[in-house]
Amino acid sequence: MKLSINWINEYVKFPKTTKPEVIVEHLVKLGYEVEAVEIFGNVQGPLVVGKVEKIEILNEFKKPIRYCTVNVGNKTQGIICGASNFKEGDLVVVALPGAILPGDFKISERETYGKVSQGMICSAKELGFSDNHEGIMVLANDLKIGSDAKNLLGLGETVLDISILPDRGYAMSVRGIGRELALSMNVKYVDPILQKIPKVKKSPKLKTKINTKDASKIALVTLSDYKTDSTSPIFMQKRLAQSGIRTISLPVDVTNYLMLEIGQPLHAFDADKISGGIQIRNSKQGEILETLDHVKRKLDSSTLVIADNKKALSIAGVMGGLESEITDKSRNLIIESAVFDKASISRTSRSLKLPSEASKRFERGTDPAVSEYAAILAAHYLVKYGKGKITGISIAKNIIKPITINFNPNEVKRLIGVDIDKATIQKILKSLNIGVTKTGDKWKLRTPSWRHDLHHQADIVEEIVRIWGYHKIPSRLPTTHLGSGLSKAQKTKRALSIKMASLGANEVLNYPFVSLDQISQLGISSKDQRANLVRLANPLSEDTPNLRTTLLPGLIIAAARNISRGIDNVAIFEQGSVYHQSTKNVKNIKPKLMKRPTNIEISNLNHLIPVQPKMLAGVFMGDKNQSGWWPNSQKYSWHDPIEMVVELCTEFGIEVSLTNAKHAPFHPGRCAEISINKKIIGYAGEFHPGVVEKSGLSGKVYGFEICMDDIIENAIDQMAPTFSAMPVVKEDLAFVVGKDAMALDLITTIQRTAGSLLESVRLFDVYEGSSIGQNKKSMAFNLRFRATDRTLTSDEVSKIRLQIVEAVAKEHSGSLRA
Amino acid sequence: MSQDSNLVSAESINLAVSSALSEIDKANDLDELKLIKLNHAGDRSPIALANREIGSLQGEAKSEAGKRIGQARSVVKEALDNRMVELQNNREDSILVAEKVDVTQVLANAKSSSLVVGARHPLTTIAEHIADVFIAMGYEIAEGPEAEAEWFNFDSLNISEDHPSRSSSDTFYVESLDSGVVMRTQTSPVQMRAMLERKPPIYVIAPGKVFRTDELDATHTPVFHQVEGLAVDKNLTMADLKGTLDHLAKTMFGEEIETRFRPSYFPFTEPSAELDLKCFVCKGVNKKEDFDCKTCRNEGWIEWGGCGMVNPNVLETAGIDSTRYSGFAFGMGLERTLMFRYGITDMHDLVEADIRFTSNFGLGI
Ligand SMILES: [Zn+2]
Repeated sequence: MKLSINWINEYVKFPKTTKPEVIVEHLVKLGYEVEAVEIFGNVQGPLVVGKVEKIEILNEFKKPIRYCTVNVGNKTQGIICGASNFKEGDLVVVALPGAILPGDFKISERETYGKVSQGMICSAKELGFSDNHEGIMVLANDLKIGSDAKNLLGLGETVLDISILPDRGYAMSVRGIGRELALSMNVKYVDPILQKIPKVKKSPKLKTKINTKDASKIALVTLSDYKTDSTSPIFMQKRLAQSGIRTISLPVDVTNYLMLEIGQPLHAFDADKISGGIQIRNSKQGEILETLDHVKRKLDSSTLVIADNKKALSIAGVMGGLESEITDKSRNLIIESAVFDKASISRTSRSLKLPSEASKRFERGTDPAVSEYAAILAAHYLVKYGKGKITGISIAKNIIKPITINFNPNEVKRLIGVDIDKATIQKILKSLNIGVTKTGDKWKLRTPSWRHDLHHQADIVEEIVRIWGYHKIPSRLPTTHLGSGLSKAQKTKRALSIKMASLGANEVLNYPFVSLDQISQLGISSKDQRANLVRLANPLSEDTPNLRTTLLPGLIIAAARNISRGIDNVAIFEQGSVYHQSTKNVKNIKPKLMKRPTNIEISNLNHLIPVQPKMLAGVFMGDKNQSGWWPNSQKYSWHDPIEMVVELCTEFGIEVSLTNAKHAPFHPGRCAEISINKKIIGYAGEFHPGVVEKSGLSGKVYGFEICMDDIIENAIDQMAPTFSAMPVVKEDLAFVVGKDAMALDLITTIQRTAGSLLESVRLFDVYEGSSIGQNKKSMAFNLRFRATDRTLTSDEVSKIRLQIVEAVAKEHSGSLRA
Repeated sequence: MSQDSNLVSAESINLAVSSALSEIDKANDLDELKLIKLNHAGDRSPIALANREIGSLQGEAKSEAGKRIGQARSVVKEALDNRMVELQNNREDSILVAEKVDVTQVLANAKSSSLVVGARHPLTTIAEHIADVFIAMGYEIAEGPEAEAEWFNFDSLNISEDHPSRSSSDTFYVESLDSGVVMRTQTSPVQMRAMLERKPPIYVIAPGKVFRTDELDATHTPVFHQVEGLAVDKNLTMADLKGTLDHLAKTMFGEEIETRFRPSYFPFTEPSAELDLKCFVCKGVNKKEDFDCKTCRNEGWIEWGGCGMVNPNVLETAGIDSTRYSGFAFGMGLERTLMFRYGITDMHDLVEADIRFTSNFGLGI
């Protein structure tokens, strides 16, 4: 809401010299943000009201040019002007040589069109007054020739752009915000609705009624013989322009002006287009109304309309109808001023996407006490600045119960932690027009008609502290509370992230939005549970309307983006939720408020939402450590992601088992299925070359995805290891086995056969080649034997060695490599 | 005379000494010298062997031989020691010099060298930093689902059916607009869950991902992060809230940081406040004419987060007696915090997963 300080000052009696910063500071303290402090129409130098005495038309140019003789008070100036919307005798705004218009436009005496032009006749746009550039600004005839036009047009005045919190509808006017500003500044406040206006008698003819629960009041003031041939008074134009509202016609300008000043939106109808009485009702289902913007709108029964006996005239509080709109020819008018249900107007303006200054105020609640006054004042202005006669007023209203709140003044200390004495509390309440009836500490409060935001004690506490001063709330810490730090799950999650980063990967946080296409591109079949996607009702983009069931699409896209930016080596990981359809079939439930929901209700709410396990995944390509002048550079390979997963699990004392598996999006021959205690926790390996290709990547890409929840669940605290100080006996064994033999199977055989004296076994070489034989490979193991209580003899070790060789021969058809 | 007694003869000793000295002199490096030392001063060196023979001698011969051998030993030892020092110096001067490397090579390889370096996302680490400040004050981290029941995200938090934030132009709905499931628009539903799961006193901090239907631009993203705190106890007041947030501000922005409370509105708190930070770049005294402050956009204050006393309706819905207990809650956006804390000017950097951005932040522990 933009308001000029000058307008506010009319009702809030701070000294004229008060700096805008001071006013801003008070507003901020009261909870109103000032988005901008603007100078309206920054014009410098002489700008005066001039009278066009003579117009000479120069026809020898491309378009007719006017050479005007303009009386600027003490002298006349010759001024060239290209516009033609004024006539001799009109008063206009003249920028004299030396003036500087907005945009650093300097006015000087100059020769043009064969004449000397001594200034400029200005349009509203040139002055920064409004964006109306339909020619020269023609002023009303009663102004003093030669007088300062800057002052007249409010040019150079300060305008505040104030943002009003959604619960403070009452502050959306000079009246509302002025009251609080006066309070904060401790200066006199004049309520704008106390202006004296003539009394209006009850209308003899016009009947009105309310046929809905969503409205509580309607006041209609009728005018006859209305006529105007002039624009709105300059003070009104000025203030509307300062508030960023275009001047249109006297009736429209008057209603906008009073909405800004008093907070009551108004609407004017052409009375001759109306048959019978006027009512507020809900729209009939499918009823059609053509609104001012020439759109035929089909309304539903939740929409409030103002209607006559036959048809809807306007969408209540949101937009007028085209047919009953006032025009230049309208002679009989009806000014409507009503009070609607906040929620109803909010629903309608949102569903029709028609937010307006009026609907913004209705949505936040208007003051029912001013609706009649506003309608009468509007009519009064129309008569005063146009012509016409007020013929009567019709009112219908439902009883509005005043809100009373039981309040204990000790609540202030309980919630704020400061002692504000009760006398001060009462004084603040009174200053906010809140009535107080005291019985000890049981106070009964009556809120003023414009406050729709006060319902509970806590609301009252906020009001008291707001006026007392939020900035005075002291800063102290609650008494110490004992906590137990991070949970095991939280520690594990952090450690996993740190571990991944130390393993060389960069963390990314992708959006969880995917599409079925992206999932299929990974080679994931439609039967896979990862293809059973949760969909958003209103996705940002139809390209990705679903929620991810795997982190891999996001990571692969992120990898491709990095590659496209010229980064050759990518190692990235993500920790995040995936979303699977809820397995339980429960209906949307809404437990009652103001009491704890039952455990069944809570469990139903939890079954309503998707199942959301937390995953950890990584994608790797290119150099693991870049090649260069140093030795030992390595490229990522199929075993890296698998090794990472094993390493992550080992960190938390978890033993994993691996088997070869076929699982999209991995290479069918290079994918490890990873399990903990027979439960599959994820997959790792090399991605399928087809997947890589479809992703716009090239070369070999590796990755893994595991369920973090499973790791968290199985993580155990590492205990101190025991180890022997006895000497070790090392033994290397190389076996020639079938090409499909699995390393882990051989190791199992070796471990079982060797028994407890085998400290460790490790595969240190795999070799395939003609010397071994076709479909054969050699696997070389490094074995370490150690006893805890004695030095092993070579006899003991060679006996075990022999047993191992026999067992491998028997179980894996393996022979000792020569 | 036995062969052995010849060993102690002056000739023999002199020969041994001179051959030792000549070899010592010729030693090229420390390894050679070590060998020479073994041969000429070791247990089986001619001088050592001669020394053993002394025992078999008598009288004057014995004392002479002893004296001779003693002198010989000290001559050889001295020569060895000197040569050792010489060769050590030599090594410093020549060999190690020859092994000199160019240490600047390490920095000549931009970010990547032979060491594998990864990094965590700054949003993750800033959330952890904030959480840790609260954990030190006895808070626990609370968590909840990202796809959340509408009841938890809105209804239970005193947000009315008609509240504009519920509109499908602000909130992502899952499956259908009446499914009752939304992508949580705030971390506040975690507060309600925390209150239902625990009994007062409750002190929790909830960092997490939230969703709103904003298109990605320089300052908006449809998926962003918040951290929210909640305390419910007897005798908690807005002064405690102010103190708690002041403490957080100090740990994040330094002891000097100045804060202010101003009235605000949130459905789930009453009274509600906005917490502003005095701009730590221009110190809030900035006038645009002197210096264009990008951090506070010349406003002097930075809006940091919303907070307030938990609305009694919300406490009652959680089954907590609002006349016996009071609570405070606060929340701040992590992207915004990161942006003004680290001078990040474009939201794209935070969401595009460009590793050049992330890797700048390291492990961030
Ligand atoms: Zn600043």
